[in-house]
Amino acid sequence: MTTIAPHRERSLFARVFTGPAAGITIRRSLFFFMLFLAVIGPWIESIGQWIPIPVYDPLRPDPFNPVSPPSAEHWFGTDTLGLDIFTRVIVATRVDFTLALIGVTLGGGLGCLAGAWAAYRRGWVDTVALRFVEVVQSFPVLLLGLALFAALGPLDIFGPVDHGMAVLVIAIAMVNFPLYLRQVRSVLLPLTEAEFVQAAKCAGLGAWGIVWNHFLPNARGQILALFALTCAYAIQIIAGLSFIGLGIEPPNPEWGSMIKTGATLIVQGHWWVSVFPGAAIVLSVYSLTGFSVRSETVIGPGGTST
Amino acid sequence: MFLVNRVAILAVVLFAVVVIGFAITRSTGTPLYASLGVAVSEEIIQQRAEEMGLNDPIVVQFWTYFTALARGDLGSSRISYIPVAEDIALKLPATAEMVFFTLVFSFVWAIPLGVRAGLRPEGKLAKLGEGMAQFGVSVPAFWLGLLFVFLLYFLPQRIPEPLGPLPSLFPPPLGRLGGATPPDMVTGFYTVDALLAGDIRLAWQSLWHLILPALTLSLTSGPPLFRVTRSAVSEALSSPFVEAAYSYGLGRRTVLIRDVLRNASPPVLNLAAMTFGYLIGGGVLVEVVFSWPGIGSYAVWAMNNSDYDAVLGVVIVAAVIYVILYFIVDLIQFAMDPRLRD
Repeated sequence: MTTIAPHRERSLFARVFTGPAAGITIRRSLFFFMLFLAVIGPWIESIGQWIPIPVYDPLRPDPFNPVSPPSAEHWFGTDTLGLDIFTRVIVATRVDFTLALIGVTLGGGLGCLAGAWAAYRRGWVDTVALRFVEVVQSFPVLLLGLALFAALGPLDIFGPVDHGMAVLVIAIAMVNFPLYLRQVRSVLLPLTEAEFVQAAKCAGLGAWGIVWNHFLPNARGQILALFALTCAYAIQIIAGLSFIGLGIEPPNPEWGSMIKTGATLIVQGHWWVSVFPGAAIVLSVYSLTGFSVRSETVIGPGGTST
Repeated sequence: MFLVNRVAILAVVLFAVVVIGFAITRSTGTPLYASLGVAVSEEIIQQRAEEMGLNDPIVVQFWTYFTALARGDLGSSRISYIPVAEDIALKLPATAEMVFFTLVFSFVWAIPLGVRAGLRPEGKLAKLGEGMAQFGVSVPAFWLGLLFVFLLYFLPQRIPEPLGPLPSLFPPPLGRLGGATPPDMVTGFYTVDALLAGDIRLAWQSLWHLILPALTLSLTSGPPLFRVTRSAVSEALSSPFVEAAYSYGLGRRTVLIRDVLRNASPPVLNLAAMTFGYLIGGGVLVEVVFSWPGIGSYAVWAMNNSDYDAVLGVVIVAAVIYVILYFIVDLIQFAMDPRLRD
């Protein structure tokens, strides 16, 4: 347990990202490593010209070298088309991270607003919001995604944006909206009658002004903790949907669809096609959930969360 | 009064589930090409759309669907013309059996470890449980299933000469029996049906096929059970009634069973029921990995064929099962906990 002296008040962000916390350090560096991979992702091929690691074009097949086991030339082996798995695992990091980030931010942001609004207004607004959460959460996540793809499948509404990616983002947003609504509402509900809210009302602020400037900031610790956790969760959902062929279509690199490629090969003993992308998911999710644990310890017992 | 209230809420939630499910799958798109093929003339498409009622206003379509649903009719598959409800009724037991065994496994590992971790938070077993929970949360279920298939089905056959090759520990991921004739349908649970038919070999075989998918799902869905058990036990342990029980001079074992475990059980059983309801539709990927002929595989198959009524049917059935389980758990809790009655 770290105790932070009250007079050294640092920003919440700084406290989550730095400071002593034994045991979580490895996880944190792992996270920064994955983040680093996400940043360099698509540029890995040009980077490979400068440092001696065997990287290739993630989309150029090598018909003479299909399903070859890990070797010095192909660290993680190749898949059925002869694509280099090592390169593709790295390139896919950015795809998965970005989609998770956009989806969670979209759904989570709206969820936060709705949750704060419900807590502020109480009454029937609150009841409707809670029922809505209950209804949406009774759909299993993957089936909800499946239904979304069924609905938006034949539509061409996203213009230049890749259709599968857009639907994935919407699916992630839909799953996250109720989570954030519920969490923010439960944190803020006890504060509805707080003096600072009364004061803001007296000062003549509009309802949205109060919610945005004075009400919502009280939940930012919990939101931050939830954010890391839901991003981790989102990566799993994206990979899961791609695994059943929804979202990102092969040969575009994405962990879930890469695992799919290997799913039929694994019973023949070609394990590397699925194992490495899956390991990347495990590492990302593990490092992200570590942040959530960390945020919770930083927020401490003062934050009421359910 | 409470009951009336809860039933009213149940009705509203169920209705909303159908509305949202319907809105999601039907709001857009024309599924006609799937059933007709691309090379048909515009008139045939129009005629078919008229037959299927796709030209009606969306409210009328919803009402048609909803009244049919009230009669238990989920529409028909646009590929095979078999009623969706029949298909689902055929496939639901497969899913239910898998989920049931998943919970059995979770009760074997997650709950004992959770109790232990609640009693001795610093102990080795608590660390083991936390480690397993971390692992289960991080690992995608479908990938874990594939790993199991590789390690336990494939690898034993390939152990080199002096030791092996050994027989596979588990069958290939090819469904519930892998080709054997299923037992006569009574409950739909192959293990139970085979026992009822007196065929112990067959029961063993279906159990053998169940282990890997159920274990996979248990490891990935068990962590919340572990955590809730741990916190419920440690909370009960530090509560005044436990102190009081000790002060009466009751033994440690008696207090543990009579006060700690009994008071810690409601949230755990609650979550177990929720997990069951959730996994009915939440085990889709594991079903796909093990070619398990449940409703999840069915939904994926339907999706790949743009068979929207089937997708919608599965989505609604899964959600309705979840909502009804939630309702039942609520009622049981109400019946068991006098504090809720005020």
